[in-house]
Amino acid sequence: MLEPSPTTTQVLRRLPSRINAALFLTYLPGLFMLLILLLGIVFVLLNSSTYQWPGGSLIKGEATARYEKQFNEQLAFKESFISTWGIIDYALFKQGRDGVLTGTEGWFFTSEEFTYYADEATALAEKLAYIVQVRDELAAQGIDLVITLVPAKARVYPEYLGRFPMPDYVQARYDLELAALEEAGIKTVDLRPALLKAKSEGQVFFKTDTHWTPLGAKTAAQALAQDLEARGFALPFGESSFATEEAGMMKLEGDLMKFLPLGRLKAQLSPVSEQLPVLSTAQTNLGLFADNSRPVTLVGTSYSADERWNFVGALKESLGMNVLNAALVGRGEVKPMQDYLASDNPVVNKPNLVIWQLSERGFPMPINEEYP
Amino acid sequence: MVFSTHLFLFVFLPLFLAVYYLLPFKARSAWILFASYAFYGWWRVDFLGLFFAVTLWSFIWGKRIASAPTQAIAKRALIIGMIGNFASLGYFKYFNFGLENLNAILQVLGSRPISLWQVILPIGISFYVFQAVSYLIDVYRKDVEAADNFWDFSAFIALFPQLIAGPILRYKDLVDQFKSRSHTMEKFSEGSMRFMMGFCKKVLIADAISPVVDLTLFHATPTMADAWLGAFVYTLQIFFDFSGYSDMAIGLGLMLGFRFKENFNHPYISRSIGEFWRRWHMSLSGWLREYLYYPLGGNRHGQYRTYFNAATVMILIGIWHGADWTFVIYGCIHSALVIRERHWIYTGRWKERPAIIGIASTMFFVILARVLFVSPDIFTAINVYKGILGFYGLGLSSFVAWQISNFQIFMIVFATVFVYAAPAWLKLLDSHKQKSQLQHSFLVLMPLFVLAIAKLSAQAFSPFLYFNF
Repeated sequence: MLEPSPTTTQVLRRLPSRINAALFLTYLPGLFMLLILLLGIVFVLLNSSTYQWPGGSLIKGEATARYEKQFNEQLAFKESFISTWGIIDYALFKQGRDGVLTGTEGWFFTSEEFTYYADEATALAEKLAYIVQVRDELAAQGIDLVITLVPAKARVYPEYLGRFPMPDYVQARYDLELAALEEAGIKTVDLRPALLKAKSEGQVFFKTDTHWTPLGAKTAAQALAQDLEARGFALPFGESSFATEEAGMMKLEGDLMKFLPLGRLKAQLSPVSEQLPVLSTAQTNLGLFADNSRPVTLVGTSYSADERWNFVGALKESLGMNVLNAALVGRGEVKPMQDYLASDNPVVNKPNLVIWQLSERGFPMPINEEYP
Repeated sequence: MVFSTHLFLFVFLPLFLAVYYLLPFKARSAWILFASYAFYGWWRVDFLGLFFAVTLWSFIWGKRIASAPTQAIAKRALIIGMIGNFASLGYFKYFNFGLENLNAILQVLGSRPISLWQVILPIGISFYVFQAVSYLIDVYRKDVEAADNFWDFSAFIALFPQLIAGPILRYKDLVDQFKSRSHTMEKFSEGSMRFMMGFCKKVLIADAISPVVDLTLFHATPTMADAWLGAFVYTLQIFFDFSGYSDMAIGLGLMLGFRFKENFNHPYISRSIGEFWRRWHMSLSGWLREYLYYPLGGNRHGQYRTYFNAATVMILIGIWHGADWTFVIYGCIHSALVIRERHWIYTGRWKERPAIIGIASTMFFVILARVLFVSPDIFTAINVYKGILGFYGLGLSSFVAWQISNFQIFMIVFATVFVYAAPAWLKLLDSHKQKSQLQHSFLVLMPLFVLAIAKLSAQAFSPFLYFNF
């Protein structure tokens, strides 16, 4: 039996929607492209950097290259796009930008700890030569030098590395550095045993930051003080007393989180929110005739310089003596010492001992590649 | 200027299209020409002179060929026209290479090396010179009339969508489209889709996996796993990079109403090297087939002459890509492989193999030869081959494994699946039953395009590999 033909009205009713749907889907990519181009040029025209033409030769393409660089850097919507991609990267692929390794259970590690140096032995020898030179320079002024090496966070918490097991060339790195220093006759303090032991008492490194926690800093300071005392350094151990007070908690903006550009979803997607106590250390036996000398000077990196970890406070407390902090943030391993030696500090304060805090991850970095 | 930049996408392209569609048809070639010169001059204005000279030279000699009273005079005009074009290509592309080799020989002979200037390689020269030469030959063969409008001809040579990395267009294929072409929303939409596809291939895949190549191949002691992984990933990268560029070029052409010929046809499903070259960079292999292989006699003069002709084409393909011994050897290897296949065909030893064996064995040689393509010099290539053979150990180097990101692993797997699933997918799409539904699946490209723009912002500058050629 023949099916009844649809009426003209039925056909007309169906036809426009079908045609419209088909046409719409056919035209959609073109309309979408026009929309993108339109939005793009509107944003660009509203951006003042679009109209800034840099100097340089147009003939040889210098000016255009500069213009494009400046144009890309100052795009109005650049940050939104970076965070869009950052969210996708982290939410779907559990990764951040180059520089961070995403471990398990909210732990992040800096890829600097895994950096491979093709000529690590040469870099190590170069740094060692500089350390020996510093040691001799200080010794000429009657000042002792002790090196303390902060182990890599990955070395202390390898159980959270996830799919990034420690590469073989990193596994022996701390031992090699220590051995090289001792062979050169440099007094060195190994912080690994103390930090590994203290893990059971609490977190010694932050999950989202490359640095140690105040507990880690305190543990390291105690281990250092015990080692110095055991070695019989002629220092006024315990002659002063210091106490550390806690004034509430503060939120930590972990430095590794900079590698996760999550934009507006930062709060929702951030793997973990970390806090730390606000600590301050003060001398408790400061009388009218108290000794204000500083027998120890601390030179080092952000592990020592950043007041949030209170490493120098813990060191004062553990040593029972005052410590001058000449550490610098963000200047690498060698520059803080170069600055210290170039200053009048060694002469004016004339310490008995300089503690030079270095880090396992920064040690193999060639001096000329360190931070400016 | 590069397609996958914000400047192209948000300034050049919208301004160009706005003016293009506001102008009457007659004025559009002039606008294409102006915009294409601005597009090229963004790199360096001084090399526009060379570009213009090649165009003018080819236009003049095209006229002379066409107006020659005898075939002999036309031939002479063709030879002069070709010499001029190839001389500019030879000087700008191969001068440094020639000088380096001459100095190496002089040093061996105990003479002092010659110290001369360094020549800068103009981007896209291999493409536009080949286009110009094809025009002269086509005019000589009377396949096409000599251009009578200099601006249309200049716009053909300069046409910015294909200017710096092809596909290599032929005047005879486009001349009618310069005179008349349609501009419809369907065509614009099709072009937009194609552009988006190319953009995603370039930014989301090729750029993402590119660091894996440097990481695995270019260190002192690549292990067997490093070297094979690097060579394989490079094989994927160059396909997505170059075919992505071609997709963008074809898409932009469609937005302007032009239809360019395809440049790729799923090359990695080829079952022989001969088939590979019929599917990879088809505009180049087609050019060489038409303007070199057939004039040399093709396969019409016996077995050994055929081998010679095929080998000549393959070696020239190698050298066309760059002035280095790596490219010469690359061409020689492909010559040897093509001759081997031809010989098997001549001697009746060629047997149709199961697809999987044919594809795997072809890919094996393609990947091996890619090492020469990616290596900056012959010594690096030798070192990678040592890695491939296991001279430096078997497993992945420990500093390599952790540096390959999850996204890169995903993209390597995705790209591999894409390469082999795409032909089947397109076949399915072509079947009438599913057509309308499957066509709409391409709409997924739109959000991917936005993601690709986002990724572009998040990454540093990403030049195209084929600019070097």
